[in-house]
Amino acid sequence: MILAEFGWFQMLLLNWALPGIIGGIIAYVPLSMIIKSLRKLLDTLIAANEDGKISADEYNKIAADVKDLKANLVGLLTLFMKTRGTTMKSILMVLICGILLSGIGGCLWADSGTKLSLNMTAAAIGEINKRCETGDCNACREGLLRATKLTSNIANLANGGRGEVSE
Amino acid sequence: MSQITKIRELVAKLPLELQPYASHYVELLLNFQTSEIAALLDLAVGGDIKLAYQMLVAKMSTEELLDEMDRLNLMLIQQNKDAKAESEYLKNFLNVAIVIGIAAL
Repeated sequence: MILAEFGWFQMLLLNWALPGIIGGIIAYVPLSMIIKSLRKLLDTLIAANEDGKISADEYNKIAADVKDLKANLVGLLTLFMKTRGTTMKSILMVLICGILLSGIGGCLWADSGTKLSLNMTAAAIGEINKRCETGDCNACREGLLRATKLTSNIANLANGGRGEVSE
Repeated sequence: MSQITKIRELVAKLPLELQPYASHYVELLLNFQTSEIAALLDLAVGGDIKLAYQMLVAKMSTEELLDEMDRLNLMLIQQNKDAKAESEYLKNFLNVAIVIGIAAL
């Protein structure tokens, strides 16, 4: 009910802003940290190389750091892509299950109150049927008119409660 | 103690969800023998509501039975409306879930 009463702002927040913020925290922060570190190392490497004041050992050390950082970046991206795939599959599975369950209809969702009223209706119609068989014409005629409405409403309820009612 | 008070006491011993239904039929139960009331309550407590209700409607006059059918129809209409509201809620929930799913891709 709460979701049904949401306005456009809340829907916008829930649909776009929230996943965006969560996605940003999960993906952007570690990625940007690695990229910044990599950029800093590369700048140092380029500057040192241009000055010509860097020793071969220092150059090799920075180059190794850059290589490690690149490997970490690729590893993180791969992990992110894999996790993203798993998360996507999980979300899709939950959605498919939800859609299937909701599509099965009202019978499975019927609470005890609904089952009780269905049983009561069936018993009342059964009693009218008995009175028809005994030749009670008034009960039969009036009862059948009511039974038609009841049957229509039971059918709607059994089909998942589409709200179509026979007054 | 009058018979109707005794019946009300018996109704009070039923499960809570059945009490509003049973209270509606207290007057009708006056037409029952004590053994019939006991059998009916046993059925209701045992969960065989349909059979218990069949016993009740069998004792109703034609007018009472027709009124009862009208009452049942009103009950079904209300339940259909409630079910529609639940269905709308579920639909909205699925819409939100789908959009979140797409946004997460």
